[in-house]
Formats: sequence, structure tokens, C-alpha cells
Amino acid sequence: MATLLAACGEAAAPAPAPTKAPVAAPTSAPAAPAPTTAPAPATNKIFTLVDKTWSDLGMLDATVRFNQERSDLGNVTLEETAQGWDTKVLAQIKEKNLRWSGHGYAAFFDSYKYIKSGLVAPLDDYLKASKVAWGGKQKESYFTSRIYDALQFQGKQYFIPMKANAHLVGYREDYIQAAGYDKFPTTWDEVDKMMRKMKPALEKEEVTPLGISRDIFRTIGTMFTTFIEKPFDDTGVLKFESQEWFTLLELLKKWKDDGLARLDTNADHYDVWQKGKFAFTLGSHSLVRVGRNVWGTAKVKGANPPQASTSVPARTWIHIDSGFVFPGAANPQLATDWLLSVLGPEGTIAERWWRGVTTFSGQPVHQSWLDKVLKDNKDLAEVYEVLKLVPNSQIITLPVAGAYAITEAKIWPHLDRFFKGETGIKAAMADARKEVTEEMAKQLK
Amino acid sequence: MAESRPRAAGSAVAWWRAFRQVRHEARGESLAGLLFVGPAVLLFLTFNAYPIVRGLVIAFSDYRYLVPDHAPFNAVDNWYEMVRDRVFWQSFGRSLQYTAIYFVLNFVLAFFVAVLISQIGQAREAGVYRVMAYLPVILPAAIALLVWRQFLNPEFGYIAVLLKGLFGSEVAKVLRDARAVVPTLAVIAAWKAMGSNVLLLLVGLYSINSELYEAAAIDGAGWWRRLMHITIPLLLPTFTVIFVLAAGVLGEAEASLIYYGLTDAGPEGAGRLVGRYAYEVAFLQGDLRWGYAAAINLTVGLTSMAISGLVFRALRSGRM
Amino acid sequence: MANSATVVPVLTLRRRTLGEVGYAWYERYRGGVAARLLLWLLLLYFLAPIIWTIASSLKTRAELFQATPSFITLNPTLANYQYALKRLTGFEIFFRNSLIVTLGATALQTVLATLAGYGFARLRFRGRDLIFYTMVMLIFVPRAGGLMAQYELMSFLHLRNSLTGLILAFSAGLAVPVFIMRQAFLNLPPDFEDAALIDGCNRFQAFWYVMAPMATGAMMVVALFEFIRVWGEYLFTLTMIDQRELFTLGIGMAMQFLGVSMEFGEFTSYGAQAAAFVMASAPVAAFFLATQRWFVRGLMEGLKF
Repeated sequence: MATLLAACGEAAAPAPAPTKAPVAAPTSAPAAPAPTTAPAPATNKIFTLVDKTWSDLGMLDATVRFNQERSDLGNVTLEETAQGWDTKVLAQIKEKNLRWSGHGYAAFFDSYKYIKSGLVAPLDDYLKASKVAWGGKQKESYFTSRIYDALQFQGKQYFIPMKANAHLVGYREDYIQAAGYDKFPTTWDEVDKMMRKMKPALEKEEVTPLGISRDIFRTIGTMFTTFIEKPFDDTGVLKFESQEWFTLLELLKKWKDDGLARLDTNADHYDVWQKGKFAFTLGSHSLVRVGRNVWGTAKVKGANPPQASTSVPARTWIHIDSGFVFPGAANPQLATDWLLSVLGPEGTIAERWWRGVTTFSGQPVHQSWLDKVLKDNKDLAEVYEVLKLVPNSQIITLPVAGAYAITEAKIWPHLDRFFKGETGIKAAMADARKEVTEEMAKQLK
Repeated sequence: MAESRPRAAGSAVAWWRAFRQVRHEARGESLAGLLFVGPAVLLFLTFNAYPIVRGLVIAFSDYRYLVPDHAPFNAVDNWYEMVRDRVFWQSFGRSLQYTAIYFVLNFVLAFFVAVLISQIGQAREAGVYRVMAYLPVILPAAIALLVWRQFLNPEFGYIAVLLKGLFGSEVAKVLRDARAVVPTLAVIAAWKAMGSNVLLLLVGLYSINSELYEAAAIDGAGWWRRLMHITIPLLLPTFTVIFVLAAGVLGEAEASLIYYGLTDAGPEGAGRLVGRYAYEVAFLQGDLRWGYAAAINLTVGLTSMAISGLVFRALRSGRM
Repeated sequence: MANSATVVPVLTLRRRTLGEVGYAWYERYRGGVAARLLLWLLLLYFLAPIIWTIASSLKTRAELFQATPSFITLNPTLANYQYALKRLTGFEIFFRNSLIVTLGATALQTVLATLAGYGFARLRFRGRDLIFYTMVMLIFVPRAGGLMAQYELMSFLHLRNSLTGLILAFSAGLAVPVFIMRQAFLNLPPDFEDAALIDGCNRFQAFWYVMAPMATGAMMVVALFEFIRVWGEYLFTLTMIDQRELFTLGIGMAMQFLGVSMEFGEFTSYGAQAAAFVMASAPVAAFFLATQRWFVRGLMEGLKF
């Protein structure tokens, strides 16, 4: 201490080190140059977004390839989304410092909401002006023109498809064999019989025959498409007051009451499936993939959905997820060109994407990829089969997507009351109708 | 020890005294004062004081962040809306329940753990227990909640196995029940915070003179009576500190936003505590209604102050 | 204290039934066999989720999916770690960001709080107490603006999407740290400092060479609290940071599991998640365990302020 005090007297004395270093040693920590917000990107270099899943599955590869092959168009950096990106993009648009120009993925049930909230720019001008060959030929490019129709909203095109999802049955072959079946039944009547044989065989392992996801579009929606040709009315609302819907729900309730079916939230639904606690369900091809991951290829199979009637062509549920461009994007033309290149019907860039997504969940929307990627692929035979149902089935259009989200949100409390036996299906659905109508009116405002 | 912690009432009195005196103070070492205190005060004023004041202004407006230049003063319209807002009342009720469970767990369990650790004579052994109890505190909130989410997973988690083994699969279904959501979040939050309280209580327990216990033992007091008549009264100041430190729990938003994610508030929306609701209104929904969200925050803050005041009083009057 | 308070009834056991070693053990731990059992039970609440996660991360696929999973694993595997490492992109970036923000904010706050604490405790200048008590009072005013007013401010200062912005905002929570440091300097005897001033030290030298070294205990407490708080912070960072490459560990990890579509099935595999959690907490847990003696004692000392 004395030496320290002495040091103080001399102005030029070299400062001795303090006897005890302050414990906050991190004082000298690297105050590394912290990155700050990038200014508006140069016009030929943009950032785009997509969820990690799709980035990993081939969109990132395709983008890298795009930057090599189409450097004449510009350079794209693909970043992964985080939850809450949508309001952040809206805030950035308002602040006029939007970082990203486009997004590779809008789930079908979000697409309408995104248009309404101002996240999606109409693409027609950019499509026309695009140097990517198929940009101006949207109508003829898809394997059915219904896909093109599904992208239209009030006379404009807002989206470019990044995958189709045709729903199928995912089932445990060992479980249906236990009930004496070697193929999945093709009608609901037979399914009913099969489940009743299955139940005693599987009961002691706590396995329920049918698993139902609480997301309408998965199990219940897919079943509904087999009961009715056009599942949605002119305003895009699911026909949940139709006789067919009542029939379906009564059937599901009976199965549930007889211990033949269980109902889970979608997150649980996938966990339960992986635990092998139900024998089959309806939904996207992910079911088969996830199931095979756990139980092996031999035990998990896919099949076309059973039908309500054998006299009409078989149908299933199909929706389209898609990429889009933000309004106020730094370079919307480049963002459009990027989407067109990655999601196009031909070329090495697009091949990376379509080969990737097909192995995971989702199907191509162009005939070229159907032929090239799916047709002779033994691992995905059931996907190729179910795509044959597409021409008979109604594809979810944008207004349907808008009404779907509302229906999904409003219908469940009433369905729950019905499943608990507190009310009849007609009364429950009449109550739901009131709320859905009310909410639809709000949305139109 | 608790006396030297910041306290609302005490600091208000001190502030008033300082305010009255400031005119009579000599300038003293103003330059040195500026250099020592200035940087901290500047930073504090910018990032802490200004937002508080600004928040009060926002709360009385219909500020919608996404609508350009839209922040009209609207007096008490936000409260007019709030009393009619069913979602607000539901979420507020959940938060009250959450706070109650959180506090009971924190007080009772932390107290028992601390008392038991203080009984351990082996210094090294007691040290190990203190570390164990403190471990959850150092985990980042996100990791802690995700770990619990796995632990409670109805298919893969161990709690499901335990419940099923002990009570059967009907009881195990509670893990998917909307009614279990708030208690679950509270148990996790208490788990995360309890270590600090255990340490606080241990400081208090270690400082109690052991002669008091010996004297009481000679007088024939059993451990229960000693607990009630010596330990608890002497720990009241520590309880007060724990309470003050946790005053923000009523407005808690983070746990549910991590556990259920930003887009889904759990089964039947049961994870929507009032803090989460305000965050959703402000940052995740529609026009981003900052005015309404600030009004909710203010209401919750004032309620929490009122509750703290009452409990603080009760604890003080219970003191020997 | 330990001998005096036999709170829990003790089993009286005979020396000869226990043998020499047993009796020595008994003598040593007497006063708390039942207390220990109860304590262990309570501590299970603290540790069970952590142990379970570690065990799950080491389980084989078959063990994870078996009908009734066991609490621990019998044939540990690192497969989950390999898988998680392959799929978990950005871990190093998140970790680096967390480190920069945490160390930066801890250092800045500790320095500022120490300086200000000294100023408020030892210097005499006009308005000193008024400023100090205003800071303290503001702790108790409800934060109506919450993250919104802060968002506006950070946006205005161009500090959103910036690690520097996070450091400044986190270190600005100075009211309690300043309070603690002021208290520490008030508790120090003024004699040394007076002697230094008489010897010709100026204020800063007196602070730097004489007073600050004596207040390291309190500084450590301030630093530790800030370290834990910033390392685990979630909501503020989530609100202020839009870009993935600036995420801190907590946000980055949460988004790996929350921000993914349901089709993701594969990576949400239970074991891989558990492995990711273990990897994300291992550094801070290791740091804590390595320094725990110093850490917990420091906290307990510090809590007396």
C-alpha cells in the first residue's frame, strides 16, 4: 500500500498494476467489432429467407448453384428464418430498411394471411420481364392447370409453387398383418372391419388403430375429400354443414367411442406415431418417412386413401406451398428470378431442389420432375401412386386458404363438444358457422 | 442485511429528502462527480429512464407501430377496451394463478432446502448441495425450458413414465391437459429461480446465532417450535428480499414464449399469461398495437406493485 | 450450529452393530441421516431434468423408442451428438455472439457501476443524492413501455441488429449494481483514502489504487449477476435482433426447435435434441462447476450487501 501511495505523488510515475486484479477480469474481453445492420443491399446482391428445413433440403444448394450459373442475374444469399420473422419483415417494410427480398416458403394456410397483411407482392410484371425462360409461361408449366389456378388471387399471381402435398395413408404393415391384412383396404367400410379385428390384437400394447391429427387438413380433411367432390364452398369455406361432413364426423366419433381412434394435437400426433401407438393415419408423406426412420422401411408403408364410394374416381387432399417476394424488396426482379430458377421445371439448379424435397415431404408440380425424380423411384412408389389422384381432386386455392385458417381456429371448441357427446354434430356446426361467418366478415373489412 | 437493499417506500422518502436539500448543497467536487458518475448516469438515463417515461406516454395512445404516423392520444380508451377484452381477463387470471404457485413453491421449497442444507455440518458436503441447488440458475432460460419440455413430453419424457407407473395412464393424460399448463410453467420457473433464494436464505440461516437454538432446546422447545419461533421470524427480512426481487413475476412473458414458441400459446391457449398477451399484441399480431400493449403492461405493473405493498406490510408487521 | 440443531430425530445406533468404520462414519454424519434423505429427495427436483437430458442424449434409438424408457442408459452412444452436430448449423456463431455480448456487458457494467458507486459514496457534489435516489426510485416504476419504447430507442440510435447495441442496453441496467457498489464503498473505512489524498493522490488515483482494490468482492458480485443475467437473456435479444447470424445461444437454440415446420420430424428426434441441449449448456455449466467454490461463496458474501 505504501508504495502505491508513493506512486501517486509523482505525476509521471508508471502506473503499477493494482494489487488485486478486479474480479471483473472480462474488462479486457474482446470487444470484437460487432456487426451492425447492413444498409440496403446493392441492387444485384440480395438476401432471401427460408425455413431451415427447406434450406437443408436443397434450397441452399440450389441457391449456391444459382449464384454460379446465373451470375448474370445477380447474387442471392439465402438465410434461415426464425419464428416471428413475419412481423419483423412488416416492421422493416415500414421502417424502409427491408433486409430480405423474398421468401422460399409460405405454407398454404398462411398464404392468404400473408397477402392480407402486406407481405406478398404480385409477381405478374416480374414474371413477364424475367430472363428465366419459364417465367412468362406460368399457365402451361404445371402438370395440371389446376395448380396455376390455385396461385391466382383477384386476377394476379402472388406465388410460385415450391411443392405440392398430396395426402396419403401412412400405416404400420406389421400391425395390419396382425389383423390378417396384407394390403391397406380401399374403402372406409373395409377399414372399419379391419380396425375391429385389429383392436383385440393390439390392445394390450396400447396401440389404437387410427390416429387423428387435430390439424383439420391432415387426417380429417383428407378423409373428407373422399366423401365429397368439392370440399369447399364458393367463399372458400370448408363445407362443414354438409351431409357428407356430418356422416364423416359421426363415423369418427363412433370410432373414437369404440376405442378405434385417438385424437392428438399435431405435435403429439407425430410423437405418438413414432412411439408406434397407432397403426395408421392420413397426412403428408412425412408420416412414412418419419415412421421408417424409427421402425425401418419394411414395417412402414404408404397407400392411397380409402374411399367412401367405389363408383366415382378416387380423390385425396392436395395443397400447394409456395415461394413469394416481399413488397418493398431491394430487387424484386432478382428475387423472382431466383424463385423461378430454384423452383423451375428444368435445369441443374432446380434439380437440386426437387430431388431434395421429394425425398422428404412434398411432390413436384412439373411433369418433368414427376418423370425424372418419381416415376421409377422404388422408394417413393406410394407417392407416385397418390399423385394419380390429383386430376380428380380439388386443389386448395388462395381464398380457401384464407377461410381455412379461420375455420381451423373456430371449429375445434365445437368439435370437442361433439366428441365429448355434449351436443349433436348439426348443432355444434351451426354454432361454429356463426363464429366463422363473423370472422370472415371481419377479414373482408 | 435486507435493510441495505433498495426498497420502494424507503427510497421514496430518501428521494424527497434529497430533493428538498439539493438547493442548499455546495457545488463541491462537481468535475470529479461528473466524471465518476456521468457515464453510468448517461447510460442509465438513455436506456432505462427514458423508456420508462416514454412507456407512460405510449400507454395513453392508440399507437400502432405498423401504421405509419399513427399514435393519437386516446386518454383512457385503452382501459375502456381492456375491461371488455375477454382474452385480457383470462390471461390476467392465469398470471395470478401462476404467480401464486410460483411464490408458494419458491418460499416453501427453497426454505426447506435451505434449512436442510444449513443442518449439514460438513462444509464440503454442504458446498456440493449449494452447487446442485444453484445449477438451474445458471442455465440459459431457453435451454432450461426446452429441457423441461422434453422431460414433460407425454410420449418420450420421464414424468409420463412416472405418472403412469404410479397412478395409471388416465392420470398421465394430465400432461396434455390445458389445466396443467399454468402450474407446469410455474413449476419450471420456480425451479429456475429457486437456487438464488436458497442461497439468500442460507446467508440468513448461517447468521442466526446457534445459542438461540441451544437456549430454546434447553427450554424444551421441539424443532417445530424452534422453526416457528426462531428461524422464521429471523428470516422475515430475507423473505421480504425474495419477494421484492420476484415482483415482476406477474408480468412474466418469456417462459411461455419459449415453451410453446411464438405462434402457439399451448393447448387451448392456456399458456397465454398476461405478459405473453401484451407481447403478442405488441410484436406478433396485426398492426402491432403498442398503445394497448403498454396500457396492459402498466395495469399489470401497478397491480404487482399493489400486491407487493400489501405482502410487504404483512411481512413487516409479522416481524419480531 | 451443526451439532446444536438436531432438527430431525436421530437414529441411535450401537457401535458394535456398525463396526469401526461404520461407527466413524455415523459419528461424522450423525445429526442428519434423515435430513440428508429428505434433502436428496428435494434436490432430485433440481437435478432430475438435467440428468434425464444427459441420459437421453446418450441413448440408442431403440432405448429412446422403447415403450417404457429407463431413466438412465445402459449402453451409451454418441450417435445423437454426431447427428446433432451435423444438423445444428450456426452453433459456433451463436456461441461467439453470446460470449461477446455477455463479456462486453459484464465488463462495461462493472466498470461503470464501480465508478458511479464510488462517486455517490465518496464525492461531495451538488445533486448527488438526488440523482442517486432517482435511479433507485425508478426500479419501482412499472415498465409500461416495456420492449416497445426500447425498440423505438434502439431503432432511433441504429442499435437494433447490433451486438454493440445489446451490450449497451444490457449494461445500462445500472440501478441495483450502483446501489451495491455505493454500499460497498460506504462500508470501507475512509482512513486509507484520506491518507492517499493527503499524500498527493488525486481523486482518481485514490480510487484506482486504494479504494477499488478493496471493493473487489462487491465488483465480483455485480459481475456475476450480470454474467448470469445476460447469458440467459431471451426476450430482449429476440426483439432487437432480426438476423440469424447475430442470434445469441439461447435464441439460436430455441429457434432450431421452435421455428421449424412440423414436417421436420427427423431432427426433432428426442435424442438429438437432448444432445443439442447438453452441448449448449456444457460450456456455462463447466465454467460454473470449475469456479463454483469461488462463485457460490462470492454470491453468498455479495448477497449480504
